[in-house]
Order: sequence, then C-alpha cells, then structure tokens
Amino acid sequence: MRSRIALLVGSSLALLVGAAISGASAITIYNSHISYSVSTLLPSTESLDRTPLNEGSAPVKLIKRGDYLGNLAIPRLGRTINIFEGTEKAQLKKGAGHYEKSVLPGVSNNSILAGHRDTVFSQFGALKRNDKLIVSTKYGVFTYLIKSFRIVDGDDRTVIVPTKQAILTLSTCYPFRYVGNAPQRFIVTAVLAKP
Amino acid sequence: MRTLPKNKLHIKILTLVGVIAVATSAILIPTLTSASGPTIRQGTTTTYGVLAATTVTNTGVTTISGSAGGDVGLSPGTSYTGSSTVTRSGVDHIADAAAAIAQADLTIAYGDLGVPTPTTLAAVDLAGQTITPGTYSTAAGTFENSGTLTLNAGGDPTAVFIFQAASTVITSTGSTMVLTGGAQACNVFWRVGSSATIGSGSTFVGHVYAQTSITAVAGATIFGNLLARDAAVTLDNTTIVNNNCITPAPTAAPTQAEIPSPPQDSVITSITTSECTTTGNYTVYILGNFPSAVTNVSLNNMNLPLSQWVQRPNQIEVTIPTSAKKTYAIDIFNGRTPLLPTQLFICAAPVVEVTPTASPTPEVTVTPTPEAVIIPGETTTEIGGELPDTGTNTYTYLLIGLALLAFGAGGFILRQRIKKS
Repeated sequence: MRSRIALLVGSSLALLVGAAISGASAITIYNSHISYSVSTLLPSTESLDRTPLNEGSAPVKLIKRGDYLGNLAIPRLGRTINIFEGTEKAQLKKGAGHYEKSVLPGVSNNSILAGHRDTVFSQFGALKRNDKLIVSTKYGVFTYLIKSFRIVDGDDRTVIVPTKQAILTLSTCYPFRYVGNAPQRFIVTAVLAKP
Repeated sequence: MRTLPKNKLHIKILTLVGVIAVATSAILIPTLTSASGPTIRQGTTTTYGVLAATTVTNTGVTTISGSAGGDVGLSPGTSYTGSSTVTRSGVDHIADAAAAIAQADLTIAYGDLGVPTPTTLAAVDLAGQTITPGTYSTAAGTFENSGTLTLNAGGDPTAVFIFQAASTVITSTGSTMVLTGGAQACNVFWRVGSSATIGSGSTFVGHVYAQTSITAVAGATIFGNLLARDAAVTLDNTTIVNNNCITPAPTAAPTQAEIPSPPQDSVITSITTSECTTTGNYTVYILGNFPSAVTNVSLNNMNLPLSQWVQRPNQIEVTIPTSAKKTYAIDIFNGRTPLLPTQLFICAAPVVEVTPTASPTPEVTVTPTPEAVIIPGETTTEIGGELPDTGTNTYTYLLIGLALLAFGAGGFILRQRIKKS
C-alpha cells in the first residue's frame, strides 16, 4: 500500500515535471522557427540617443554590463534581435550579447556579438554571402555585408582578434542540433558596407 | 496477475524508462549512413555533386544530377569559374553558411572513413581486379586504375567499399569501374590523402573525399560526388551522377554467380533522363525490376556498344550520344528475346510511351525543352532546404522531459497492474 502511494506521488511528479520541461523546450524550439513580422525588420532607433559620432574617433565606451546597446536586423531571416552588453548567461537569455572586450559596432575593428543557436541566432544555416546585417545603436545605423562563414572549435583563439577594417563577427554554438554543450562555434564575418 | 516483488518493480520501471529514452534518442540523433557497414556520417555533403575549398573551375559542358542532389558548394573560397556551362539539378552554395556546414560535415566524414582498419592490397593498380566489400589500402599509399576495376557486393546491396589512399588516386584515360553483385555507387568511398585525378573519358564510381584537390580530366563520368577539403575541384566536360542508394526489394538479391538464366517478369516503374541537349551525351534511366541479366541494348534497332549501357540493381542506364534526331526506340534484350516492350523515348521530354510490341519507331517530331531536368527517384526538392536549428541545451531538456514523462507513465501503468493484482 505504501509503495503504491509512493508510486502515485512519484509518477505524478515525474509526469508534471516532465511535461513542464518538455513543454518549455518545445515552446523554445517553436519560437525559434517563428518568422518575425516585416515591421519589426526596420531598425528602430527613435528611442536611442543619437549622439553624433566624432569624425575619425571611436565612440567612448561608457557602457556597463547588461546595458541595452541597440538591435541587430537580419533581413534574410526576417528578424530583429536586441543587443545587450556582455556575453554572460543573463544577457544571452535576453538577446544577443556584445563581447565586452571588443569594440562597439561601427568602429574600425572587430566587434563581436554572441547568441544562442536555439533562439536569437537560430536558422543561421540559411544565411548567404553578401546578406545584410544592420546594427542600430545610439551611434548610428551600420550596415554590414556577410563575407564568410566558418566553423571552429569552441576553444579557437583566432576569432576574437583585432582587425583593421570594421568587422562584425557573430558567434553561435555548432552543431546547431547538438544535444548537450556543442563543442564548436559557427562564425559569421561581415564587413561594414561603404555608405 | 501476481504481485511483483518490489525490487522487480524497480527493474521494470528502469527498463521501461531506458527503452523510451533510447527510442527518443534514436529519433533525435541524426541517422547514420549505413546500418551494416562502418559508420560514415556524410551529413549534408550528400546533396553536393561538387564541394571544394578554394576554387571550382569548369571547362566545357558539365552536368551534375542525381537523386541525392546536384549542388555545387565552395567554402571558404569564392572563385567559381566556368559556371555558365554547368548544368546542375541542385543549387550553388558559394561561400554561404550551407557550404561552411557541408565542409564541416566533410571533415567528420573524412575522419570516419579513416577509422576502419584496411586490408593492404599488393598491387597499386586496381585494373583487372575484382574487389569484395571491405576497406582497402596499399603499401605505397596510392591507388591507380589503368583498366577495369570490378566491385562485387556478393549479393548485398548495402555492402560498403572503402579505399584509403594515404596520398593519391589516379585513374587512366578510358578506364572504367564496374559494379556487380548488387554493388551500389552510393556505398563506394575513396578517402584520398592528397589529390585525386580522374582520367579523360573514364568512368569512376564512388564518393571522393580528398584532403587537397580533385581533377576530373576531359569527359569523365562520376557516379558519386567530388568533395575536396582544402583546395580545388576542376571539371572538364564532366558528368556527375550523384544517386541515393536504391533500397533493395524484400526478396534477397541473387549474387552475381547466381543470376538466373530463365526469364522472369521484368517491370518498369519509371523512365527519366538527364537533361537533353544538342551537345554531349545524355542518359536514360529505366527504373524497375529486372530479374534477368541484360545482354544487349539497342537504340533505333542498332545494338549499342557495351560502354553505352549498364545494368544496375533496379535500374538500367542507357547513354545516348547526341544526334539531331529526337525520338528513339530502346529495346532491352535478354539473350535473343526482348526483355521488355520497346521503350519509345523522346529526347527532352520526360514522358515515355511504352508500346506493346517491338515495332519500328514511328516518326514523332518533338520540340526540345532543354530546361527540364529529370532525376531518377526524385520526388520533391530538398536541396537548399531550411536547416533545422536547436537550443544550446533545449534539446537536452526536451530529452530529459520526455524521459521523465516516460518514467511517470511507467509508474502509472505499474500502479494499475498492482491494483488489479
């Protein structure tokens, strides 16, 4: 009798928790497949403080971890993603994270953004060369063109490197469909388009 | 029902959970290439007729087709020259995300192909040899084919052939490879440590996974695909047919030695062609069940040379040289008797009328429609499809959730059983 009650309680718990976890995962996976409406595509900068960028000088970094930086529009995927300062769990949960030890987008150097492969940076396998990546920050709207894709090991040290040109590097986990912590990174490199 | 002892209950629950968890994993984890042979994770490379790293260079008219896919991929390079005269059933992936993924998959497949321990063959030249399923290498680390290589699957259409060359694979002008005993081109793999050169006008069978580069000299025909990891793929009036494996009929395929001579019923299920153009050869694929060995094939009542047709499991391929004439009658013979009614084939049109008798070809004038490419076995286009994407840990959570659900369900079932007893 006791074992039956234990079984009932255990089974019910397992069912509830199982349904909750698999349901939540399913919703996450489903959401990553939703195409965003076209109106969200247009980079919205109205709410941003448009401080003009000084000629020839990089914007001074007065940003703290967790701050909202702006957004990244990926027209090919019909998606606009919020960008936050920092690449820790808290920021990556909300959107794309800007690697703190890299320059801000729009600057003549390598600006690095990271995102989860299952949410903000999902469907990256559909991207093509010369696709636009449009970053809107308070320093302006910067259009980058994708120039290359590569897959590197998670511990690769050649991705986060300084560059002469204004480069935008997107990094997400690879393989996209990997169960567990993916061992590799899918790297998208884009070059700032000449206005 | 008798009451199960408590410890047996636990075992039962654990078993149930285990079974369901394994089943779930089997669904979620991508399927592997072959069930019987070594594990070769081809991944997305299968849809590529050609995949290179630095450049793809084409000269002349090249055709890339096949039921597995006719894509052309290049990553990270961007230089694809001569593409205007390449006819491919798939799409071009030049330095895009899909090509980068295919290159990553190629790295995995290349690694997998190096795993099986090879049998060392005495001769570097494979000409005149009959090879049975297995993995092979040579002491010199190279393979050549100066004549005819025969691959005999011994009646097993899933049998896998792997050739591990530490350095080069070179085939001579006009050399050929023959598949017998149910062997399929889709199950033949060449792991090339440096570069592969496929001779002029030769026939080559299998997937080429080269560390460096691949060159197909003028007029070569490849049943498989050409995948180069570090450098270029060079094409010259090349024909690439990248077909999926054909699933054998439930009845066991007879081995080469056992192919019965008494005629059995042959059935045609479909006839398709490669693109019909005014230059170069094109191929008619007659798919169906042909239990008897074909002895000769005639085109407009003239016997075709042996080099222009080949019998495969469930498929007869007839290569027709270009001619202004656009209507053809194909007869397939088993000894003296036609195996099937005459196949009236109209160049550039996918529809084939099957006439009941082997009567002379009626004159039919057809306007060619060269844009239509028909590939055997192809029903829908998957090429260039959206890649599935998942979460950093989302799929792990999904697995855990499903396992817990299974656990709970198992518990309830057990509880019901105890209640009944």
